[in-house]
Amino acid sequence: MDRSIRVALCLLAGALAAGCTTTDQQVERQIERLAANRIGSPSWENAVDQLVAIGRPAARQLVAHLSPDQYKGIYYREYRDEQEQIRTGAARALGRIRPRGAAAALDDRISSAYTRDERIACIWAIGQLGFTQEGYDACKAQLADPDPLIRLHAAVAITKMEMAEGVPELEAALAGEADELADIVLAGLAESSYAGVPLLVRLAAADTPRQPQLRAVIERVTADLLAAVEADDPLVRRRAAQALGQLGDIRNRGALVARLGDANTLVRFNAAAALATMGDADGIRFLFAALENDDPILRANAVRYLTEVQRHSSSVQTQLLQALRHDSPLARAGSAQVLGDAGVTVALAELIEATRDASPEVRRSAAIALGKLGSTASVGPLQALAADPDKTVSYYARWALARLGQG
Amino acid sequence: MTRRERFGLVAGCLLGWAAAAHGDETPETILIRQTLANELSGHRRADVELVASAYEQTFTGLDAHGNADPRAWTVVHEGLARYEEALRQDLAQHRHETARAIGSIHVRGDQALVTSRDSGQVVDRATSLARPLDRRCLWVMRKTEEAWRVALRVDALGDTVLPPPASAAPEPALAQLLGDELSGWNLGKPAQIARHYGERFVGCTAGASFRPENWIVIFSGAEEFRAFLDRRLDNTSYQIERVILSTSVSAQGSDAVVVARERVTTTHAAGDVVHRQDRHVLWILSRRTGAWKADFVCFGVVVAE
Repeated sequence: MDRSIRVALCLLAGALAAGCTTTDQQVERQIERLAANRIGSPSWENAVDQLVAIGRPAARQLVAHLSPDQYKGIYYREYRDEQEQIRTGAARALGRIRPRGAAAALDDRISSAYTRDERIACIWAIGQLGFTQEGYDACKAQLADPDPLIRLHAAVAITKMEMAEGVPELEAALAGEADELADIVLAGLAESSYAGVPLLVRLAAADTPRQPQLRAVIERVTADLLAAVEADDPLVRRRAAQALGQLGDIRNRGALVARLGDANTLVRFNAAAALATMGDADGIRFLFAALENDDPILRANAVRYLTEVQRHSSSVQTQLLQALRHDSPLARAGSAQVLGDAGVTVALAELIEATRDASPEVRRSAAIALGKLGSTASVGPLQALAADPDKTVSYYARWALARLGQG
Repeated sequence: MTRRERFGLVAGCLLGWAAAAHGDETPETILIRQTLANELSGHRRADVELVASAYEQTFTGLDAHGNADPRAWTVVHEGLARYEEALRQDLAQHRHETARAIGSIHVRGDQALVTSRDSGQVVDRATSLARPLDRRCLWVMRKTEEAWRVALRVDALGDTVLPPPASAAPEPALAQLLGDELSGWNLGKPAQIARHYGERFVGCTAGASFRPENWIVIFSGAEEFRAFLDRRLDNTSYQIERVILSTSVSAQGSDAVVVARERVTTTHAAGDVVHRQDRHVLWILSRRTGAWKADFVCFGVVVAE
């Protein structure tokens, strides 16, 4: 081997040996950078980014650095500021890595025994991890904190967990004059992905202040959802599809139509329901096709999602009434069920007519729907149905009469 | 089942029962309580041997004179042999009718920091005159061969800081030690610092509290301290300014209490933050092996203005 090549190989081997460190050492190096730089400084932020890049293998050490017990013995650090820089950075990194096991350690660091930076970072990270009972309880307790910033961050975290207790705090901040507080809410909602969409939709539809900023947040969330709808996790895809439907922006149609062929049943149904909510023919067709499917699970999903769509947008009412005259008894029975579950009172006459359907399944669904609609006009037809030769039909006719006070 | 196994089973059951009786007990805290219970029993029964069995041979006894400011603390017992002499006289003259409540137990490795409060009365055997007793103590305990023994005891702790007595100039050897140790920090030389600490040194942080119940053990032994120094001084640089406020050397010259005021500045290799703090440090030292060595150091103690 040529001498120069041997020398080059030796140098490469040396460089690799020097450069290769264990994950623990890499994490420790970044922890030292957190300790050595002011919170929020470029170097401190870069250390957080590096820890996030290491990912889950860093989580154990990061969790350890949240605890005061860590700062003893070999890891002793005598400065409270130094501990704060590390603890805050560790929490920020954990919030981005999202290891579920970190929740308990974070919950323990949001009390008033810790600094505001530490508490906010830990509350933020808890919100990023999503719902855990302990995290939710811990954040809910912070809604009573005297510090408005802590209350607001807790409210954002709770909203990220898809719980509603934080909404009044968020609405008050958005309606208030303090831009600092409103910006926290807007940033929190922008990070909340599908969890924040119902609130965003409500705020954007209402006559609330800061509409331009809310629209900007919706644009950002929409972009996140369009990415999430193609995520590996079917739960994420499903929730993203659902949220895109709630946003009701027809520009997102293509991404949702693509999900009608998803490998996961619930993703397909959520995409179809989202499209149907926007009045899209492809989504409506998908749900009605499922309504006459032989597979009872698909039919049950069709009933569930059509009911949701009808409740939110009434966009399938005409098709439901038409489906009562469909050739398929499964489609007729399913549409009767949806009309009852969604409380479509204008369907009363058609449902009364359906009590005389040749199919016992359709008569049974019509009886149940009439019971739910609760109109006295249906008493006579239901009394007639109580003598139906099909025992199940007569049972539900009597059940419906009882709901109408005729039992 | 062998006799040894039966003993192990019974001991395990007893420890388990005791742990259940005291919420967050561990086997170590149970053993520590046992040692201190024996020590108290020895006093009550005037059994010098039983009391002495709770102590290490190198035991150091301090009197805080009712003052939380450690500048007032003095060494009253230098080693177990001398303590036994004093104890024998005391128990011959007095009957101890006392009870003990353990305040806190902080265990780190094979060393522990314990606080207690003794109450009751001490009765003069000759005159039957009773003197009420209400005494708070700080104990530093070490585990050796599965037994916890008292290495250091500070009697008559005060619950407020009072002006301390005037202090003489520090003994040259002590001043030299503290100066050399200081140089070690300022030059970033772990070995130069570590050589002034005893093998079973205990390091604490008082967290600006004069109540030892709130003190926390941060170093258990010189090995752990040295590992800290190596790691810390690899990543940071220290500049410490130290002023010795008081020194108190025992009658035989084998033990000393030093309190120093320090301004500590730390810079980091990995960034530009500069950390600073002013603190008071309590040192308890001994020189039974020749040179002075720190046996106990507590950072952030409170002193009177």
